[in-house]
Amino acid sequence: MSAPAIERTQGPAADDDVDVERPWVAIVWNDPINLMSYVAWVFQKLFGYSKEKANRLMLDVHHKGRAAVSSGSREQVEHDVERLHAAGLWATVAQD
Amino acid sequence: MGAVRRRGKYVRVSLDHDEVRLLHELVEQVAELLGGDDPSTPVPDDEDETETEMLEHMLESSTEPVIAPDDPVLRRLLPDGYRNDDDAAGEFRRLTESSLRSTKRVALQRMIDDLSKPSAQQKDGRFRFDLDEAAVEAWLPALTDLRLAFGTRIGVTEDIDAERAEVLEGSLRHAELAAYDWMSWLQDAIVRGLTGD
Repeated sequence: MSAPAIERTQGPAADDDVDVERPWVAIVWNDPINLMSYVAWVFQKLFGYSKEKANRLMLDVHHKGRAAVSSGSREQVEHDVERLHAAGLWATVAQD
Repeated sequence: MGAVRRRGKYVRVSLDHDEVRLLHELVEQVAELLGGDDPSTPVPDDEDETETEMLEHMLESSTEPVIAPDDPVLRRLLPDGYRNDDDAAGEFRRLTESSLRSTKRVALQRMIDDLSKPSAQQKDGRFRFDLDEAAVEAWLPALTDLRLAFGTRIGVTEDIDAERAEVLEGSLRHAELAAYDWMSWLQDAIVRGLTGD
């Protein structure tokens, strides 16, 4: 998001051992273009989060470089990532 | 410079002639970019598609994982759904890219249509657009795609603030950053108009 440069953390490595107990998560990554106000609005709009929760997640993305914004079955999380892409956010599916 | 304010249930956007033309032109370019070069499947325009036609389209679509586009702008508009896993990313792309392209194009087209018919022309000559919730929900992702496309093309990075302080007035870079900053201002003002922040 429009912010000072920050260290990017590495994404999760591909892992062939699928552990059914580990939930799937939608990760949103920081990018230099998306606006903080818009990203917080998207989290409220897509996931029904309160303004406080949406802002907290947005700030996590901004300061830590990424945040897990939703979790569930692989199918649900892929659907969430597709909706995040439609909103223009940089999101990926990962296993927690 | 445009203005954005809340008016009852509308977000009211006022833009001068050049601003309307710039947005119209650029949003159309993004829509065209998303319309062409779709490797996964042709995008059906017809919403009243019959089940048979839908199945035909499904058969037309590739069953191979689809690779990410070469163009950095398209790659940013249509990002990978998995990191460090090309197979999963390709499969995700095969299943989602076509509908993602059409979702984005619907929002961009809505913005193009709205820009073509202002709600009114003000006394100061500016055009007024009264956006209801549905319009705002199309304009915001459309403006995002516009800024992602424009920002990627002109190479916006995290260092943009430092660059802005040093850029020479009158240079092409200055004009690019000014246009980008204006788009950012407009989108941010519309979000704030909507949420009341």
